[in-house]
Amino acid sequence: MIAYDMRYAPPAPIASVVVANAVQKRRHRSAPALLDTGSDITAIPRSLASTLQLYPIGQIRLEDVQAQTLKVLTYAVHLTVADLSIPRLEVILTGLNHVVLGRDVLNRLYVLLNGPEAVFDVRTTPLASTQAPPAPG
Amino acid sequence: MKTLTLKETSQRYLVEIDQAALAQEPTLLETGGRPVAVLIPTAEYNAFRTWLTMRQAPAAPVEFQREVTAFEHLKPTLQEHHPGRVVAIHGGQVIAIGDDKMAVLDDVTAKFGPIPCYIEWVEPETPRRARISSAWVAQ
Repeated sequence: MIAYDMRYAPPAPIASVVVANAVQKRRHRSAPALLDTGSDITAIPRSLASTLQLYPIGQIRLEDVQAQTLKVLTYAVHLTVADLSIPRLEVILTGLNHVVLGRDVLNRLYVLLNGPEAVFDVRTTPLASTQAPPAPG
Repeated sequence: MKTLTLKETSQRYLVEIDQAALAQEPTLLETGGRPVAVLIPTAEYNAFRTWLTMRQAPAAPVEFQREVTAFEHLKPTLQEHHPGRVVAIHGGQVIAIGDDKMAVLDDVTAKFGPIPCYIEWVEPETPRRARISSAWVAQ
């Protein structure tokens, strides 16, 4: 199990990921990544794109809190999280200093969030059940 | 624009705030006769943040933008012949077709190496929409 990052308020599940240029994989960096089930797509820091010398491959329309959309460029990266390696993943850039792991990645993983104990786990294989739910009645 | 004057004081002071006016128009805050800040309605602030994000986003490279323009030009024909599929555009031409953007990128890289191209779904409304809700708070 991995401890929640207490520097976030409220504390957040932050995993470590490795992001590489999808074509030239020797260009890679590790980065903290927020597990965000509310995000449709994964995003990486803008500074990382510059370091990895990424080139755009497409566009998406990013919807904001007001449901207004903004066309942004997308990039292809090789992303590794836990024991999952995704050779090509379409991502966008943000001004944040961490990666945002969206459902495009999280839906390929087993994720356990244990909020009360501020720990989480993320794997490609089923997680051992911590406790069976109580029988009804 | 409404103006509120702030005065330094050793005592606690209260600035009369007209919430209805704040929600409708910018309010200038000044101290010593000099403007120091402007309060703006939340909707205007959000629009400003959107503009700021757009301004900070890297501009598309010229070659890439050229392929985007080519895609838009070819779109009616593509919708007729390849609806619902993914195409890669390079040099103004379709160089790969598939059913998944990353698979098409794989195809392009395998055939031509790392060349600039635009990969997009052939759909009436492109590009597709996506949301990153945690970035809303962070921004």
